[in-house]
Amino acid sequence: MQLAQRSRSGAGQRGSALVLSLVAVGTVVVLAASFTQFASAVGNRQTHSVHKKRAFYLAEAGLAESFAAFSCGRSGVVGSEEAPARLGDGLFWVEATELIPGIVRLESTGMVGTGRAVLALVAQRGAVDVASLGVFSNGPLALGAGSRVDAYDSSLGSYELQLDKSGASLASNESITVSGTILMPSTIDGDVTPGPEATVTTSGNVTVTGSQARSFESLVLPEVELPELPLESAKDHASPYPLVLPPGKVSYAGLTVRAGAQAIVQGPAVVVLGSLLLESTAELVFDTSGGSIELYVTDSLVASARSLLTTAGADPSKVKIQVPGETAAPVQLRAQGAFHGIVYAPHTEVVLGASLNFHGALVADELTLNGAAKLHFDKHLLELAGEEQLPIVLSWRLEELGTLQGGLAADPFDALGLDPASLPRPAAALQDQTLDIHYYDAADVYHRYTGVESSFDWTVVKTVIEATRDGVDVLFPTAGTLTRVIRKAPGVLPIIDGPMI
Amino acid sequence: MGASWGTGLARWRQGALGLLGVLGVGALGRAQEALQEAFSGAPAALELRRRLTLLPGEELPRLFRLAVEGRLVLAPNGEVLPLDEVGLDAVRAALAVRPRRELVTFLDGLSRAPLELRERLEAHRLFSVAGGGEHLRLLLRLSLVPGDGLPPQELRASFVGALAAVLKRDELALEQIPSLFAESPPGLVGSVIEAVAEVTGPHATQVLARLLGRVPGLDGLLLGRLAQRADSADLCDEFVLDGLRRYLRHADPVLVVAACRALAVLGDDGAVEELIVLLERGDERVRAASGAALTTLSGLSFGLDVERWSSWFQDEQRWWNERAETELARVEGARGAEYVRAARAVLEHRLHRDRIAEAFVQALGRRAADEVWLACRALGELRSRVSLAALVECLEHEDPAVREAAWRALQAITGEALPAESASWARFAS
Repeated sequence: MQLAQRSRSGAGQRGSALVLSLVAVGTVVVLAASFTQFASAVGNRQTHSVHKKRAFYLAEAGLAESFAAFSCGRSGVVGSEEAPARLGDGLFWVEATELIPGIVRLESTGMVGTGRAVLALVAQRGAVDVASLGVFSNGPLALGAGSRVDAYDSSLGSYELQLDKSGASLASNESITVSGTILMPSTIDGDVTPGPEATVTTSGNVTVTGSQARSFESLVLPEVELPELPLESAKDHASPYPLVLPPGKVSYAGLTVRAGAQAIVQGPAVVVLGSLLLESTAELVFDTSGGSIELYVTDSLVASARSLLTTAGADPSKVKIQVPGETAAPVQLRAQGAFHGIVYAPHTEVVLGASLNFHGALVADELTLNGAAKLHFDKHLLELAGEEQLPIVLSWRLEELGTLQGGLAADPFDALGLDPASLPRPAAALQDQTLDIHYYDAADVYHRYTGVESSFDWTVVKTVIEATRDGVDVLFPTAGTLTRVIRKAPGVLPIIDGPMI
Repeated sequence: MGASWGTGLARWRQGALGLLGVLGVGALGRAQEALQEAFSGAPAALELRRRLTLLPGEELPRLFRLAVEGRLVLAPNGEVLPLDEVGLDAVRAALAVRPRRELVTFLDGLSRAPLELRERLEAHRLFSVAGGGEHLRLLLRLSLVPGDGLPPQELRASFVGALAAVLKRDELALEQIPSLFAESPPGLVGSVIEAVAEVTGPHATQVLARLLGRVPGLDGLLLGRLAQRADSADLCDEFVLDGLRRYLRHADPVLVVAACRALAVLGDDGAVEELIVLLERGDERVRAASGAALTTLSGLSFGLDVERWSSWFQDEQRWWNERAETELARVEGARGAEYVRAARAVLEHRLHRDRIAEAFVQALGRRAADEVWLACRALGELRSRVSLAALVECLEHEDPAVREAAWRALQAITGEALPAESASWARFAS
């Protein structure tokens, strides 16, 4: 009885083991299937993620290609959706839109595998910095006996401590006259460049160490953008204590500094004045220890004889005096002192007294030098002007980061209906533009080419005199800087080139 | 300037100088011979300097004249020997090593005679090596020119140089500045300020602050110079800051703007509430300056939005009053993950960053390198100058990651790009 009972219970146990085994196997199978599916899903997600990241990098590469081209005067367009550039196993194209004059939006789309990314960048074109012109007059320019025009590099120390004073630039859109005597010789340690139709005339004891060849073309001086600031009433300062204009932006209808008084402008500052009058023995100090100073004078600027115009620092790039329009009377800088700065008056005459030791750059519609001028051009301004001409990035944003329809099998070339083999490399996908270039070839022969850039062979160029793409100046690196310096005329007619490629 | 003094004064001056150094005609002759003798045989620079240094005391006036004129008149034929730069340097060096009492007595005598500009400039040069805090009035006398206008620019520059040299050498001389300021003619008070501004350190900052309000026309200059004293940011006392805060309520917007800048540079958390009020002033420059100052003080960019600034300020105050003490204690005492959490919590607050920085400075002394590293990173973010000395010490830490973090923090706080060696940062360690 007991045996029979035991036997029955043993049979029951054997069956339950089988069931348990089946359940266990089933569970393992389900788990395995789940894990396989999970792993597959994770793998897919990772693949999509990798493709998205690669698409992002492709779009970045597109922006870099476009921005580099934009910096060289190109439009910034690279390929198009119909004919993008191919890079590796992906593609990209960049569209350029001029938002307002000088501000361009570059939008780059990159696609690879299942990934698609769109990045956008807004860039501002570089500005022409007139400081690189040295001493320049739109009208005729005459230097009196005893004048000295030379150059130094403010980044290497003070003018007095430098031995190399070469590299000055004295130029005009018209004629230049330099005179000297045995007792008062005149020296220009650098180039003298008259206008394209004008000449340099020297009389007496005059030394010009550089070229006197004419300029390639007349220069058009850019306009001054006057900051809009709330105008305050005029200030008349006669106190024995200094008048301090603290850092910031300020605009006065006028500033008169009476005899024996002193005014100090502390940088960083933007100061707009209707008129500025420094009476004899008055002093105006530009204190640039805290930052740069921009002074705009709209109606009248007179620094009387025996007044004092001084800069606390010796870096000319930190003080800029600009006269935007034409003034009723010439701008008069008859002050004494060592001035380090840039003076720019594109529509008015500037009279420079002999007592002012001028370091920096001086550009005017008409320049009159009273007596023996002492003008020391700062070559460091050339480098700064080069940087100024480069475009700057105002903003960057990610517009889109997504996945193409069609799962892992999706392919951007199929999606766009393109044959990868027919697509150009990035450099070849840059938008073709009209190139107008004046250059010297390897044998120093002057050539000119006008036509689409794709037909021009850049390897024949040794030195560029001037080039434009669709009418926009092209900047070329020279001696490590990008500068727009005064270009000399070749003196002969060019050989006109036809399409080369 | 010189024209008004009259041509006869030149002879008077010669006589006065002669009287100062020469006891009799015979002595004059001997002195002249001795000076001439020093230049005989075209000696090398060092030898010339040695000979000039060995000249007797009565030669001082003639040496001075030599430095002023840059030429030696040879007896008996009156031949003129012009000095080159080397010769002039030797003369000046010989003058500079004369006994101080002798020089001061000489300069005192000189200051009582009418002087030409170049004599004053040379006297300033001599004063800068011989003068002390007790002689500042002598410097003033050497710089006084007729009239109320501005003295010549070279004279003002050399006055600034001489006064600054004395103040740098003798910090106690700063105590004399307020009285010198009061006695200076209007044309020179600006130069007194410029000279004090050339001296670094909190004492000079305090002196500049003490000069505020004495001459209303000079407050702009003083505020401007105070705004350039970032080196004193952590050491400014309440006297200085109170003096500056008064100008936030000034009627002249130019002075308010200057005060905003100065308070921001000096890191005055106590001015935040008043700066927020200024955001509602009518003057655009004042609004912009107070907004910029708030951004500098807080590290936040709320522009000119009064509501956001007010709300932020109230939150900061509430945190400071209710939770700051506990959380800062956790930063100072907690370890491991709790320390990290505490650090993250307090770094959300910037208003009392000097006090917060002090808590992290405590953490710099720990053994765990990763905790020290985190403290360095936090101090770099806080940009409080109270941590400079401790961070300089961390440049010697055994862990390279800590040294790197300390170096980056020092760069962030000071704006200096010095090498990662503690010797380069020594001046911040004191």
